[in-house]
Amino acid sequence: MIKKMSSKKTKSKKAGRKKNRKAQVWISDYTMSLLLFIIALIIAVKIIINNFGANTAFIDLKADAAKISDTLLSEGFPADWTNESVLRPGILTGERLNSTKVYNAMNMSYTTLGPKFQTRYDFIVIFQDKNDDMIEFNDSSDSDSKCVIGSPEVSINSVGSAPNLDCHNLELDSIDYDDLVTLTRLVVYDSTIVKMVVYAWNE
Amino acid sequence: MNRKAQIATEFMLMVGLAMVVVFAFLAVSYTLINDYSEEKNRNKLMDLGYSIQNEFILAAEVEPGYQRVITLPDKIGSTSYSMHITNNDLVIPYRGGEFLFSIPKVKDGSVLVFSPGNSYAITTDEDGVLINST
Repeated sequence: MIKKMSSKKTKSKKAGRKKNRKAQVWISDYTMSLLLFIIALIIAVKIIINNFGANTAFIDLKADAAKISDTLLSEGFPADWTNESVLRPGILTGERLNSTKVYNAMNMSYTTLGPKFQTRYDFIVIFQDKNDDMIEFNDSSDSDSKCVIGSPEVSINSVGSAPNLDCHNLELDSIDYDDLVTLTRLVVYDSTIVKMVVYAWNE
Repeated sequence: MNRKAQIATEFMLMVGLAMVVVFAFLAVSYTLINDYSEEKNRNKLMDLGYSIQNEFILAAEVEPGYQRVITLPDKIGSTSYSMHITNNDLVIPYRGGEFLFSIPKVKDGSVLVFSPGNSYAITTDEDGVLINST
């Protein structure tokens, strides 16, 4: 009797173990396959996003930075443009930097400037002397001075305030970007050669 | 018998869950592709607007005697478009909105509504820029 009981118990234990094991195996298989499937989906989505967005963005960004510098290093249209009449904000007059045009460009709102430069990316333009120190430009009455054309989001390392503003350099850490293009062009200003640096970036 | 029924339920559950994941993936993909193609259309239309704007500005900058013929594309990608001039602005309507491109003043008598696929002559004389269809 005892023997019979024990053999019955062993059988039922075996059956129970077998049953539990089967269910466990199914759940672990299913969980693993679902996990793999989700990982594959995430990778697929990432590839799709990268293929659609990132590849052409940097090329476009470089082209737009070049376009901004080309537009700036022209006379602009009309040649004697003001902030009201401007179609193309060029800052040269007779192949030399015209400080009035530069100040006017610095004084234009950022939202107006983007379409004038035909770009959809963020940008900022500065002028540097031979010591890489930023150059400030005053308005005609010397009551105001500015040192950048473009985005107001970039912090500037400067001392003093207008009209005695002294800008030193940009703090590009203050902005978030995926790609950043820097383009440097040389231009004549007051009988010296200065650098015009165009920064363009996308977020 | 019970075990068989359980397997069928489990199978349906598994397929159901997989379907949910697949549909979620399709929905995300559709939104992404839609947004991307929308942005691409907008960029193409803006590029077209900028090109035409550059042609008008160039015509206004140069000396009298300049003439250039431009041919507008039939479509931008697969998108139909229209274009007209209003108050010194080149206007391209798109999905209830408008892209505006500032252009120099054109002479009275110029063509102000442009048809895709047609060619237009931009001529500069002493009085300004004139646009004619060819």
